[in-house]
This record gives sequence, structure tokens and C-alpha cells, in this order.
Amino acid sequence: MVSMQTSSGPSDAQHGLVSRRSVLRAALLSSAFIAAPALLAACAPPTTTVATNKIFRVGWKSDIDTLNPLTTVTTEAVEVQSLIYDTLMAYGLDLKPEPSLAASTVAAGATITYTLRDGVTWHDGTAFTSDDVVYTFDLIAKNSLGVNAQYFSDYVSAAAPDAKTVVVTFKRPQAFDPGLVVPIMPKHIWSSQSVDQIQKAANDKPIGTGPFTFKERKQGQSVSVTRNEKWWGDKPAAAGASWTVYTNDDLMAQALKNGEIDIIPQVPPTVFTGLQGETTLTSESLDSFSFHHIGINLSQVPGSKGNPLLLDKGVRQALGYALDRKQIAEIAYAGFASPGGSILTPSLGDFYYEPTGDAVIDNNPEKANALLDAAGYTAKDGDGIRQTKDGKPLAFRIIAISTTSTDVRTAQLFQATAAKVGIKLDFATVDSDTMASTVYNVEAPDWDIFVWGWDSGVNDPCYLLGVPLTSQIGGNNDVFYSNPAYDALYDQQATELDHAKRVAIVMQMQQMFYEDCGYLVAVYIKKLQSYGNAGWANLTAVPGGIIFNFTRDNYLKATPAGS
Amino acid sequence: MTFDLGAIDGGAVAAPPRRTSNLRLLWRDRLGRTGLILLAISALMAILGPIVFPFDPAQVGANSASILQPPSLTYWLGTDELGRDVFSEFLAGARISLFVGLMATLISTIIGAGVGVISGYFMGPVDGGLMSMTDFFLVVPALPLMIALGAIFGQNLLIIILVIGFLSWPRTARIVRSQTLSLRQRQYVARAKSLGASDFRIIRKNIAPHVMQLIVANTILVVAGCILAEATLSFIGLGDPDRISWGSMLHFAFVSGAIGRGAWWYFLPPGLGILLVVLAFTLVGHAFERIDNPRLRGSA
Repeated sequence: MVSMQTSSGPSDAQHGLVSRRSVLRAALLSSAFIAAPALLAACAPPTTTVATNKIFRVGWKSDIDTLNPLTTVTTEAVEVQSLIYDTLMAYGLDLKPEPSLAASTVAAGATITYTLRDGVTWHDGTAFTSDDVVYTFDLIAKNSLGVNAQYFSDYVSAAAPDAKTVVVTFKRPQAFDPGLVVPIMPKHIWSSQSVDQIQKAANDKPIGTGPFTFKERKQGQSVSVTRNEKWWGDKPAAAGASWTVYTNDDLMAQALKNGEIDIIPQVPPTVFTGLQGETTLTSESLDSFSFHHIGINLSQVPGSKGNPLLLDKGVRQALGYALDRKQIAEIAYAGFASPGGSILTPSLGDFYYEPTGDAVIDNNPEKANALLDAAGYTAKDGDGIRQTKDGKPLAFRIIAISTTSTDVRTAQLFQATAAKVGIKLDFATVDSDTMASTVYNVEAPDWDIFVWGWDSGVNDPCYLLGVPLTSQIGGNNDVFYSNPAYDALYDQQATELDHAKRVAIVMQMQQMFYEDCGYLVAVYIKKLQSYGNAGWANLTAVPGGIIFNFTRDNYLKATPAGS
Repeated sequence: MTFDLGAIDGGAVAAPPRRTSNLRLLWRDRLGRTGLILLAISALMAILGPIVFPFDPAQVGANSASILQPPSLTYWLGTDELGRDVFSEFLAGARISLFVGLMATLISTIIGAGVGVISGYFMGPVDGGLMSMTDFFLVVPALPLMIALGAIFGQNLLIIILVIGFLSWPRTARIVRSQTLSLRQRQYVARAKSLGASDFRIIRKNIAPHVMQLIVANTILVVAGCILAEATLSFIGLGDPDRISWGSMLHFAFVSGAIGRGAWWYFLPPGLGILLVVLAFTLVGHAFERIDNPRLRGSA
């Protein structure tokens, strides 16, 4: 598995593990609202799709964790749930918000008013009303349930003046509209259960308002959904969708060639080059909002078992100079990545900071050696490993998820280049659960360095910039970076509506974080997706992915090939 | 008053000295000879490999064009997913695979032979206790246990050697015990005992030399098993990621999609390497068994 979307990290201390990307969807929404806290009118484009009997078949490497949107942690599950449930607003193929269950949304001051669409029913035939929305928002906000709870910290109340209107009140004007991310749940099904029951609910027969109804789940193997003939929107051509779990990349690629599946949303680079040559397939290498990085444990809590030498910025910078990012992009990613640097990706346009000249901390062993020599770390006893004055070796542990072969290769390459400047890296691989629980152990993090990634997928800097905030320790902050100056700048840019001024602040933040070397961003990755030409057409290749993106529209707009 | 125990011991090792003729017998055995030649080749590869490496096995490629390249005059066995020379890796892998196999066997043999001799010699409750333990390890499914232990204790060479060694001794213990049981009934043992020889001395002088032959034959077979075990653990990703072994080469070939791409030069050499070395040890081991046990002769 090449990408990290499926790897989980905690969203907040109380709620354990959360999909890294599902969190980030919210950020996209948030940015959209900062830019335009606007009224969005319903404007459905004319439909061209004709309902068929064909199934949209996806192959991936991980099973979904649960069908319960209030406890889900994997992006796979969010992908499936996004077709069963609707949100009030949703992302189109231009990655901009569009009306969904809400025909219109008006944000005024600290309230957001949603006017709901007519004629929406739940999959079981019950009518959808504003009560369902109020119930869902209340449930999440008052019990801090699930990934989306973090967007309800200023929540006061939700009211339903009539069956078609919902008024949500917050303490302060909200940059971010939770209506964009919260799957609306049916009150008539869930309200009879206690919060405890809801948190334990498998929800194995989910009822939503979405374009597809749940069909079947075979744990560890597959999930499938069937077209909802009574859906309020334009009916998708696909009679259903299925997601099948493959344990091996080669088998999955073979299944795609044989036409057993229609699309693979995450193809590893070495497999991808093989698929590119296939004339029966379309293989897209898409820009993404993802990077993979080397994270350095900066925790200073008493229980931290991280190597204290890493708290020396000089050592971290030396590691940065030892890292050969170009080599990693070329070799570990077979060229399907570009050398990294800042915490923001180049796809974020003018927000992206690119260090130049002397500011560059990359592939410069001489500088690494000079830094370490000056700091008194010298190799004395002939093994080539530098030591502190009191004899502690510059030897660190480095971990990566065993099945993420690109991260494993990155670690191997880094190990070799670090050795050249006298830093020893002891490499071990772990499974993804162990990775999450080890790295995010706030009280006693027992690790030194990891290789992992973030998938922003947002066309706004706020999500990725927010990762290393002090307030995100226990949340997304995977290296326990804490810098009050950085935190202050973050708050500044979040309220700065002048683009040029905001860019200036964002640049300053990136530069600051880059120099501190808590992250050594190794590469900006390409999203590699392949689909069979005999399967589905009219698939739009958007940044972030045809599917497995924060828009579900390719599922809805795909048409059978040759039709 | 002292007895000359040496004289008695001398009687104990009355069997004609066969050590030198064993190798000759082995050479005369067609399959044994094949195994011996294969073993010599792998040993040579493991010992001389690092001296004659065409490339540093850790030297990665220059760019994405050097990844998974088919064999060429420069790279005799092509390159892997990091652009490293597969031939150099293959030679380096021989070293680790053989090293782990031999070290684990050493541990396994020491435990197995020790338990077997003590159990067979003392009989009674000692035997009962040790044999229940042996039976336990014999029926425990070794591979899942190795996987579990490997996952718990981490991935370094020493742990892997210990895990494999500690889980592969029961067969040796069983065989050595039955031989010891028969040896301890021999008259010369009773004589040594009546002359006041200590148990330790009897084991050392009268029992051990006679089970040695058996241990050697069995050990050679155990090596094959240990090499396979290392390859298995490494293949499923529990090997030492810092070191190249044939098993880990197969692992990386598998996860990097080399098989789907048809990069045979990457997965075939380590696979054949394992096959041939295991075959070699098995051939030699069985040849030894035939030499040891004349009833088996003529079967090959």
C-alpha cells in the first residue's frame, strides 16, 4: 500500500483514532467558508446519465473498520459511508462546496441557517425532516462523538423552526461549516439508543438518504451498495458499487487487467509503471495534496522515551542535510513524487514556500558534518558513529509501516545517507495499528523517528499548517512540536481575509517550521490510480484522486464504457 | 585407592575409528557428493562473496531508470526496486541465510542433545519432565509461534536466531534420548558405574561419543529447517530489515510488485538459493544417516 490515507491517527485524546484524511475534509470546507461565507443556491446541472445494471467495482488493500459514521476511523469506511449518507453540503468535481441535503445555506454572524431540500426520504421510506439534522448535530456536539466532534467546540444549539429549516447557533462566527462533513443520521432509528449503545453500534444495516443503499458486507473481504432508486438527485448510472479487499498488490493489479474490478485508487509506484503500459487501462498520475515525511520525536514530557539528542535543533538539521529528497523521489517512489520541503504542498499554489539558497536543508553532507563537528559530536572509537562528549552515540530508531513499501524504502535510503555523516539509524518496521499507537502515545512516546505521511486534499493551507500546533498535541500533532510563535501566527492567518497578507503570514510559518526540522518533508507524492477502459467512462481526473477523494461525484457521474 | 578409569573409558570407545572414513563414505554416496559440492559452493559464496562483490549491495540506483532493470553485463542479475545490484545482494544474502541457519542449529543442537542425553541417561522423573516439555515443543505449531515471538521481541538477527533455535530442538532431543536409552544398558556403562565413575563422567566418556554421530547427521538436517524458517520469517516481513537475506529479498520482491512485473531476476535467485542450500543440507544429512545406519544403505 502506497499511501497513508488508511493509516489512522487520533483526532483528539478522547476519541482515539481517526482517519487522517477525513479530518482534513473538514479543513477544506473551513477554507471555503473563510473565503466565501456565502449563500449557495441549488443549481443542479442537467442530467446525462442513464441508469444501468452495471456495478462500479473498486479494489483496495484495507477493509473498512465500521459502518457507523460516529465511530469510524478509516478513510475506506468514510468513502463507503459517503455514498450511503448525505451531508448538508458536498464537494463537486471542482472541489468546491455544492448544495446537497440543504438546498441553500446562509451564514450570518454566529448562526448558520440551512433550508432543506424537498422530497427526501430515508432508505426505509420514512420522510427526512429538519428534526433529523437537529438530532445529528446535537448527538455529535453534546456527546463529542466521532471525528467531526472537533468542529462543534463553539456549538450552542440547533433548532428546527419548521420541517424544512434548521438554524444552528454557535458562540462565535464560524469559519467552518460542519454541514459540509457531518453525515446526517436518521433520528427515528438512532434516538432510541443510549450514547453508550451508539458508540458500540456496528450499524451493520445503515439507513441513510444517500444515492446508494447498503447491500452487503463480508468482513475482511468486501462491501457493496445498491443504487437508491428514490434518491433526490440525478440517478447514477451505476446499479451499485462494490469495494473488494486484496491482500497483495500484484493480485489486485491482475484483477484489474482481467476486468474483475474497475478501478484501483491507490497503486504502488512499482506496480503502476507496469500498469501504465497496458492499453486496456487508463492510468492517472494525479497531483495530490499529500506529502510523506520523516517525523522526529520532540516530546519533552517526563515519560517520553525518545532520544533526548533529537531535542537539539542542530542534530535535527544535520539529519535534514543528510536526507537526499531527490533520491527518495526517484528511487523510493520510482519518480512518482517530487522532492519535499515545506509542510505545504506545491499544489497549494502561492501559499507554498520553497526554500532557496542557504535556506535549503537537503542533501548536503558537508554541511551536516560541519554542523555536527561544531557541536562537538565526533566519531571517536572507529565505528564511524558520532558521539556526544560523554560518549552517547548519535544512534536513533526509525520506524515505518511494513506494508507501506514506499515508506520502508524511504527509511532504507535515509539510513544509508545518514550513516555517511556519522548518524546511525536502526530501522524496524511495524504494522499500521502499532504505528498509530506508538507515535501518538502522548504520555510516553517510545520512538525517535518515523516515516509516515499526511494527505491534506484541501486547497487551503489551514489544515496542514494546523498539524504542528501545540493545541494539536493529543490530536494530529504527531511529533509533539510546540512553538508559541508558530501558534500565534496560525491564529493570525485564520482570521486574515486579505489574501496577500495571509500568504505572507503563511510563508513565515512554513519557514519557521522548516528550519526547526521537526518534520523532514521527504516528498510530495502523486496519487496513482488505474481503471479499466472496458469498465466506466466519464471519470474526471481531479487532483486528489478520481475516487478516494473528498468528492464522491465520480461514483455518481460515471457512465458505462462504450455507451 | 584409585582405579584407572581411563582404561575403562578406553574400552568404551572400542568402536573402530570411523571419522576419517566417514567423509570418504559420504563422497562415495552419489547424493551425498552432490550435497557436499553444493554446500562447498554456498560456503565459498558466503565467505568470498563480500570480497568479490561487483557492487556494494547497499548501493542504490541513481534514478528511477535504474529500478528493477533486467540482467545486463553490468548488473548480472539485474537490479531491485531500489536500483541495487541483485547479484551482490544474492551473495550477501547467502551469508545471512547460512549464518542464521547455522547459529540457530547450534542452539537447537545444544539444547536438543543436552535434553536427550540427560533424559535418556537418568530416566525416571527427570525423563518424564524433560520429555513432556519436549512433547510440548514438538506439538506446538512452530511457525505461528515464531511469528508471534518475532513480532513481540522485534526484528533483529540475534532474536531471530534465538527464536528459531529454541523452537527446533525437540526432534534432536527425541532421537538422542532413544539412542542414550539403549547405550546406558550396555555393559561397559554398568562397569564404569560399578567402578564409581560419576554420572557426568559416564555421559562425557561413554555416552556422548556414541551419540555424536547421530547428532551430526541430525544437525545437518536441522540446518535445512532453520534456513527455511529464517526465509519464512523474513518473507513475511519479520526479518531484520537492516540485513539482506534470501528470505528478505523474496519479501521485498513480493511487496514491491516485482512478481507482477515479471522481474524474475529479482525473485528467482534467492528462491533457487534457498532451494539448493536446503537441498544440499538434506542430501548430506540423509547420506550421513545411511552411513550411520547400514540398514538404510542401498536405498540410494
